[in-house]
Amino acid sequence: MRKNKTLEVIRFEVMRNLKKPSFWISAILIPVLFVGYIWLVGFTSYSATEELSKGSDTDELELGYYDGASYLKINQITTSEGETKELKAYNSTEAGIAALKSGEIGVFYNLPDDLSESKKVTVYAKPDRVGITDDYSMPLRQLLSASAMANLSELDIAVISDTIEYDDVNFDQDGNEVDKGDIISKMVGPAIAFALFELINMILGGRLANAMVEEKENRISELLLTSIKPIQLISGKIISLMIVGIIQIIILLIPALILFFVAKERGMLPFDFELALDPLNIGTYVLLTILAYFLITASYVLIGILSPTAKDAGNYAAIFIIFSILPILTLNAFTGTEVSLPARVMTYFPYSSLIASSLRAFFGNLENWELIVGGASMLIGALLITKLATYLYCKNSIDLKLNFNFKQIFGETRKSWKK
Amino acid sequence: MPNIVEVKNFGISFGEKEIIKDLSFTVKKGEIFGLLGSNGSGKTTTIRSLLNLYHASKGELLVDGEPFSPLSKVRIGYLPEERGLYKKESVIDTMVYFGRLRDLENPLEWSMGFLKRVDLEDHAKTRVDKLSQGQQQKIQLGITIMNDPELLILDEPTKGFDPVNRRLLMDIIDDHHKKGATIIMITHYMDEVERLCDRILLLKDGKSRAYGTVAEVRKKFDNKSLEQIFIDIYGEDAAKEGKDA
Repeated sequence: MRKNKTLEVIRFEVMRNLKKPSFWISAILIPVLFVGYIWLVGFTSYSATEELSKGSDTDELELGYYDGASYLKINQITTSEGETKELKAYNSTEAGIAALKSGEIGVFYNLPDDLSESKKVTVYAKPDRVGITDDYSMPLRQLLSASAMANLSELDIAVISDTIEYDDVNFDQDGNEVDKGDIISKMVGPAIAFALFELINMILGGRLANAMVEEKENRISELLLTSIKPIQLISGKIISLMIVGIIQIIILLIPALILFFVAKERGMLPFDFELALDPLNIGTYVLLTILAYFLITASYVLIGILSPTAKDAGNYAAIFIIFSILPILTLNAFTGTEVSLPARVMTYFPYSSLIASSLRAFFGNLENWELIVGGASMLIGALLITKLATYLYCKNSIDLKLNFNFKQIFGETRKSWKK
Repeated sequence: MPNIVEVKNFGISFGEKEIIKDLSFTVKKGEIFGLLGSNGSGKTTTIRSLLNLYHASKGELLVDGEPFSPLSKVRIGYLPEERGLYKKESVIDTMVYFGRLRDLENPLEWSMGFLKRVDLEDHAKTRVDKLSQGQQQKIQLGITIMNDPELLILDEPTKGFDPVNRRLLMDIIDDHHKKGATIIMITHYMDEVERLCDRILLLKDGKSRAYGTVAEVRKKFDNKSLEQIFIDIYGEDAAKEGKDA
């Protein structure tokens, strides 16, 4: 019984990649390092803030003031613990400073007689330890704000404190009301595509470029090519590389998703993440990402075939990174309601299509038909690259020299499609 | 006896250089056929073209009546001149992979049987690059014959082989010949040719210089030995090169 040889190649290649310790080291190490880095940055910044705030913590200190300008309307503040605390009033600057020096109070605020002209307050403090970042002004700021607001209406206060709510209602060109939540939910797909594609390029580029070199370096090609059709071999290679890459990305995403849901559960996200997800939108962009991944994998395989050694192949990986970030480097071309010519070209050019489409979706100037054209260009590009890689593998894997004959390549392509 | 290989007016060029010029020959089912010639005479190019690894510029190369493809019905075993294996894979994984590619019903069982036959049973899980050169040659031979080939093509089969593996190869050739397999051998060793081959083709500069049974070729060259004929055709240097290989 004849076996499906493409499946055999996929099985062999996936298994031998998964058996490599280097795969698991890189797959596990990257998320561990990433989480470790985030934790380290968060921990050190938290510790530093804690340490710095210790020196200027006014909750534990007795506070006093002299109001020469008679500006303060109240003399109570709310501490960080939510408790009310009264400040001690002094009759003169000298009396306040004397009380500070004697240890009666820890901080003394001096509001001079000419406060309305000078707009300058002096804060005297006598902490256990003097640090360059010490700041004891917060309680007085609270008092000044409260005193200022005492003479204002609620509306004045809302305007000044910027607590007025602004409710946007937009209409599209046809006069229909536009749901902003809908717009945001439509950005989820492009965002996923953008992130996944950049991840693929960063993490997998080097490995993909080395994928076809082994057969050449070890002189296995002749044995393989008498056992399996070149197109089956190359397709199997491409699909297996894609599967291995997807496994690695899943390993990477699992801890990220766990962190996200834990943060969401504990209300640690900086914004409300209750999005109405649009499955069609997400599905479309996932499909486009798969097409882009297919294209890039086929291209890396082609590079591996053209390169005499693994080292040479790795050097070419940078080409695709540049292609993929080209739309980001030319970000200005994507903004605005009138889409520029370069933005259009990048939307239809297979290598930049995914990122360009995602950016245009962000800026709301992408038409659905353009998405289809971009997807088609990636699919056609990937199929042509696969065919070219197959042809060049036959030519280049045995003699290790490059032989181009476009008439033959596309003549054979036509014949194989007819079959 | 019917032909298993038919080469008709075959020619191939690489760029401007014409490697093979209008070559025709047949290989009959069940015979041992010797393809002889000095280095660069076009032997390997002819075999690669027969196996569709190269595309002929003109003519026809048929295996069992049709151009060869890995999907062809005829079972082929091919030991290329340049041999290699997946260096970082285990012996058994490599053999099973090739067994699956060659449609073996039970590649694991066959591979273990072969490893036992060549005293490498204990090395089944060893990485290929941890084996000696001689042990790797045994694995390559195993992969060549694992599909019980009807047509066995051996390109410089004894090149680089130690005496033990050379003996193993001869046994394999003998076994398969007895079972009715056709064998095409590319070799420089005239003693092997005289001892094993039914018919031979001598190539020089991409053209046939002698073709027929060993006796016919010898008769054509005044009953000289094959080695002397080789020297006459290719010059003393080429023959010396062949002997040293």
